[in-house]
Amino acid sequence: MSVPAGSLRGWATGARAAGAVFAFGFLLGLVQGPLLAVVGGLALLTLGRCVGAAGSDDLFLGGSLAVLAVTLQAGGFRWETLDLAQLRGAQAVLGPTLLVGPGGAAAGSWLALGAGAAALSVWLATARRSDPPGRVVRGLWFTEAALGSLALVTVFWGGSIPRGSFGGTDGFAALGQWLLAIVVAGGAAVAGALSLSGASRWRSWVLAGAGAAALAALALTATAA
Amino acid sequence: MEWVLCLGHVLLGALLLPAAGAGARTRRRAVEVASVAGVLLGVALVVAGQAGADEWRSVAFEARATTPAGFVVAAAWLVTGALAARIRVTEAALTGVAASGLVLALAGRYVVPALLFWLCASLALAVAAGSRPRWALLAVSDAAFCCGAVLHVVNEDTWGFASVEGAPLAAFAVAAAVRAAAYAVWGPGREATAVLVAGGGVALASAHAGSAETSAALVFTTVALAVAVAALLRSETGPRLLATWGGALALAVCFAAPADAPVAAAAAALAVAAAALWPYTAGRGGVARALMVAAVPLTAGFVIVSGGALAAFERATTAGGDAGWAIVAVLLPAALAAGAVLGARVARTDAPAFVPEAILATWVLLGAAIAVGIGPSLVGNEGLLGDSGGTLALQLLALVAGVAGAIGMRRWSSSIEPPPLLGPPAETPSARELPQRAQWLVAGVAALVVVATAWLSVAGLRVGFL
Repeated sequence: MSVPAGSLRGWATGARAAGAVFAFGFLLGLVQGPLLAVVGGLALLTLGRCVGAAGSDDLFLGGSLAVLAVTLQAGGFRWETLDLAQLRGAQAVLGPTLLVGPGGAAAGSWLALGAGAAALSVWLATARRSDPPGRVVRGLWFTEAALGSLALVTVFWGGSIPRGSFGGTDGFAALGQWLLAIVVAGGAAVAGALSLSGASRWRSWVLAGAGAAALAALALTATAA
Repeated sequence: MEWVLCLGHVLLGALLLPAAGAGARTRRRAVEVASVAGVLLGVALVVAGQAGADEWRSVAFEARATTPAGFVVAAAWLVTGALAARIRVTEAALTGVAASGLVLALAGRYVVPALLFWLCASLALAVAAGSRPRWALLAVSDAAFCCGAVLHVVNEDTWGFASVEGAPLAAFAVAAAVRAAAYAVWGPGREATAVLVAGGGVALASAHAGSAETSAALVFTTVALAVAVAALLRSETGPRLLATWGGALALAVCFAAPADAPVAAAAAALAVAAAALWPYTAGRGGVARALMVAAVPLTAGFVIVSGGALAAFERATTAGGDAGWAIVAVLLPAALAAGAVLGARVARTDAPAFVPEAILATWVLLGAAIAVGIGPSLVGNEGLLGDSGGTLALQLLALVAGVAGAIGMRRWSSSIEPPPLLGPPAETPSARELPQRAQWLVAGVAALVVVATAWLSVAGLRVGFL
């Protein structure tokens, strides 16, 4: 008896949907929780993607997720917390992770963000290879890009919108800044992914470089905090 | 009625023996009925530990021991029942004997009775295992366990057997690791016995890990990732991978976050049982196995990996934090990524044989893993996400979204190329026969274990601890 392949694709899609809902729930602040919950949601989403991956694409998906997890952890080490509410709160008071000293921690944060964006590009480029044509499929791909960039922005350019200022100029400015950061991060990741789609042999080098940068960033943020 | 939870398994084994001479159909029914009773006893043991049941003789029903013990024996009986048509009655009976021995050893309050019951369980497992390489594995593990028990008595000047630290814990870690790695050398056959051996190893670490140990956590996390990377690079997925990966991760968590050790042992028992049933689940068991390998949200694996990572992170970021804990805190989330890839390959790898009961049992194991993953408070664990209504609602929403996505894609996917399948796993190689000298060495080690146990028992009787 053989595995019913249609059933397998169904379960893979279900895993992607469950992972996306799970991660979005924590990133959008609907439920309070730790950064590891977001990584878990991304892992469930990656599991679904890996089922449909051909050749060694699943290794690239897993490797880029691992690098992304390390970069997010680097942000957590910077603030010495993995709690999303505390990450947002610290940035709301002191400013975005990227802009807050000491210099070593800020440099590590920039390095981590770059590594994270590169890893996300590799993930998106690899995921795109197994996608059939179609608007819905493209829309789902962009949704996954938004999820990854939201995770990066939450850790490196996040912050709560000040209470009571919603509707006021400060509140809208903060919201606009947050959305712009997501668009910039997501746009960079998507642009990188589209570039890698046409030059897939560079994936290994990009991923290896991102991994090295992520480890260096982790060392900087963990020691400089 | 606490005695039923401890001795019920050996009674089931005794009741099975008369069926050994009966017809095939009668033997199968007897094993199936005994297995159902055994699973219920295992579940009852978990519940009794959570509820804080009264002590019985030298046994204390504490959750840190009864939760892993209950899961291991229930998983072993589930495998026995699923393979009732293929398993011998004597092996099923010995499963009962070993299960009772394991429960009494893990929940024992004193060193000597616990050691005696452990060795009784090992003897039953050795008879059931039926090959010299497996005897060697049990002998080495028991030697380490015995060494740890002796060190604990001598160092702490106590006959009590609560949490253990230092050198005795290191010896227990070796014993646990040898047993947890059983599947790497087990070979085909004797699946229920393998579950008790491998699951029992992790349960041992869970019951006695008294303090977080950086070295042990780092070693086991590294081993788990090495197993995963080697399997991925060599494109080898099979029962050995599933069992070894799950055992190593669980041991890492036992020593990174002792508070999460019972859940870790429970998750390991479920993973090892799924590995045991793998060869008999052609066509339908891949997704269930995949979700147990992958340690993703909504499963017990995620609860333990994330709990261990968070505990390690908190130790790394306190004043005077240890770099070792920082490494563990980074490696465990990386294990989530490795698990996702492994899970996908497991889902795409079929099995050689089709046994409907084994497929059903695999899905039951997944159900238990999801129950623990969504509601870790069922086994006394707060879980990484807590148990607030919002968290539960989000998890249920994710589950609904997953099921809806799966059903929707199945209807839509007829025009889409199906994912590539990897075919059934390679046949698990039989354990190699031991050279003559090694056989004598194993016999010597076993004899030493018996002598050390006897010495400890006599020493204990002299001080009148009983």
